[in-house]
Amino acid sequence: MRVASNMSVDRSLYDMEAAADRLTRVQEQISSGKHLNRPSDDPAHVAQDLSLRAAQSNITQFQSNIATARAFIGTADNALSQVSTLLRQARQLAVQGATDTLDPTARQGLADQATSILQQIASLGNAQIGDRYVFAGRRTSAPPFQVQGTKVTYVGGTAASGDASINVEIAPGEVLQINAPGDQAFEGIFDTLNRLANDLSTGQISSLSQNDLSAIDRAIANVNGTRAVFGTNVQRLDQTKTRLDDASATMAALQSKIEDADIPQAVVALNEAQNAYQAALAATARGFQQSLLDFLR
Amino acid sequence: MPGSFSGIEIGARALSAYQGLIDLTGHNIANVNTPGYTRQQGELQSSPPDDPLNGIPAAVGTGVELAAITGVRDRYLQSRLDAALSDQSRYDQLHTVLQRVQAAYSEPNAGALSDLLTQFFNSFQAISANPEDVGTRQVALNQANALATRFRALWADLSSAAQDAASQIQDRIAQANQIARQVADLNAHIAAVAAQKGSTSDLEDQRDQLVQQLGKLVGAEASPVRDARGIATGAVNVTVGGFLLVDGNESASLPTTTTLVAGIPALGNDQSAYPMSGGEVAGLVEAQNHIAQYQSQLNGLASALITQVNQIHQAGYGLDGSTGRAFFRGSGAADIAVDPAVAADPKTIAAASAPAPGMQPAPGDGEVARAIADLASARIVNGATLTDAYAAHVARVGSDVAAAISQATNAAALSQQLQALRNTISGVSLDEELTHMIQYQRAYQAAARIVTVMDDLLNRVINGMGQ
Repeated sequence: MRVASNMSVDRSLYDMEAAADRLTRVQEQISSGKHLNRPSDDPAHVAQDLSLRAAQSNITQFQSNIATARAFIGTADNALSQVSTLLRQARQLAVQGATDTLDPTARQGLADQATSILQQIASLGNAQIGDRYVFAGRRTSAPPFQVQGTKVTYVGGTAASGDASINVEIAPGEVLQINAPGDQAFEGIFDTLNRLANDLSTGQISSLSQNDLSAIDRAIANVNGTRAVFGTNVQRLDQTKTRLDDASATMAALQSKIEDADIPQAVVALNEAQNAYQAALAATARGFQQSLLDFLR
Repeated sequence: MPGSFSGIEIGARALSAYQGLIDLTGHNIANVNTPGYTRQQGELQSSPPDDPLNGIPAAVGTGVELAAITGVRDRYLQSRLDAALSDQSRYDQLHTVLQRVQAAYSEPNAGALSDLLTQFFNSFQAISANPEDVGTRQVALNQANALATRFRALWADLSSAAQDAASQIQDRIAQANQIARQVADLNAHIAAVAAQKGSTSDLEDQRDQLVQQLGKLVGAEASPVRDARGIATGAVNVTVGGFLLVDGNESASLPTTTTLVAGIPALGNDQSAYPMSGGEVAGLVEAQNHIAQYQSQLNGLASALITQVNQIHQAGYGLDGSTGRAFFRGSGAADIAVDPAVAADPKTIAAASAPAPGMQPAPGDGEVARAIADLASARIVNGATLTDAYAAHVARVGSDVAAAISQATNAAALSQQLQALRNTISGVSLDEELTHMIQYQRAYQAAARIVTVMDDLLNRVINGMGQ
């Protein structure tokens, strides 16, 4: 084949450019640690990559929702635990008051204690996390229990008005009610305690030993029932969180598989590209050293 | 019987022929690096006896003459090279524009549209878990604003890429028209030189270069003009998809509008379209078409987002009791924005559902915010979620760029090979030229010797005889 003087120049330029281009691309992979730096690097997988990123970002949000829900339930449960303790104290008062050996002053003392328990429980009914009243249904910005003397009125959201439940999405499509509205969680407590105080101060022994005791027991059972639901919900939150953590880890692994450069492989490729580039440079430098001119005088 | 001075004339003719060849060698060497130069060859021809018909049996010829100088060219190869270069220019241009477009998306990265879309829905999820909190609402407003701004910026980037492509198309067409005029002028020039049996190779090289540029610009193709007897006149006609750009000594102006004919970029309009086989303008028209499709898809996404969010939002209630408000205004990616009234007060974000009759909306009600957040997983764009539809859109941009890159690479490899092939035929080899130079130099020296010998002989006859 006839060889023109420019052919080796053209070829060398082409090869050097190609080698430099390969080298740059491998270097980018190594320095960014990413195989997928722009959609055209891997068009077949970029959509999956974006979906994985979105799903992980979603999970982060759901985990934040779970944390919010957990704190909310925790606050309510803590309040109900104290309510339960106070109700047991009230039960003690009923048992004490049911004996007929007490003088009126002592009875009144017990009645005062019952009233104080009522007020403490009403105050627990207005428990808050941040600015939110946890027993107010969705009417979270105002105290759900209004107290006037010993009269306690519930003004929070109710099932009847459709604003009782606070629902939080804890995983895609999975919604959990995190609250117990005050009218349900504190059902009958205030009437029972008012009657207890009244029976104590007036010495209604039979009422104390029968009606009041059983009413207090029912209230305790109701509170414990609500707490049991809370317990189940916290368990579900924990399980969901674990599940989301696992999913997130799996997705991160998948994403890394798509996005990340295979560094050992990239380093090998870098060496190859470097060698090819050097070889192209060396060939170019040597290729033009001689011509017939060197032998003409 | 030859004349006394015919020997000197033979020598003189040889000297002149070899002088010409050495000059030609010099010309070839001088143009070793000239793009598009075709090496030239001299044709030596023996010169017949002065009077071959006078019946003398031993008539000696009159030496040598340089009959013609021709370029060593392969027209077929040249046109294949032009076509390959035209292809290469097309895909280079397409790939340049699309890469710029792809960069505007800046995917996959935090802060890109895909991320902002997810963050937007997440921020409503956060409101739904904590609807009373004004800070959480403010975060959602910021996210919504970032998302809308990103949509608009991306739209603007795509628009300006399309506009740049449009003005580049006009530049290229104007350039092509100018070059076409030069080709027509050269056609006339070459015909004039050829008519006087002059050497046209250098002019043809110039014209080939211009035709090649036309190919790179608008995918033009040249064909030799033949006369009625089928003999090439030396002129070339240049066409672009059937449009006669150069007709002998005349040139036309290309249409300045572009269109697509069955997906193929073309000059002209739907009534009279001239499809381009390659060239930068073809690449630019293709790029414009891609961008228009990207914009239409983006618009579809933005408009689905606006419609769906607004529909839910309008049914909801803000912390301030307001209802019936649109969250986004605008109708697509170009003008999407957070409604100014909502943007001014985070309390107006309608997170709550409708209250029971006679009741105020409940501040702890995040049902509507959750419904908006759940749009993230709703199949609202042609059966896909917004995120997935957008991801598919990005994948399409990526695969368009990847395809353009591989087409450009392949076209470059092909034209590199054809260029090398052309060089094996038409390129200057210095070794070859130097060898010729030695050859011609020797012949020149020998011819000079003939002249000296003849001079000696004549000297003897004129000055030495009779003394």
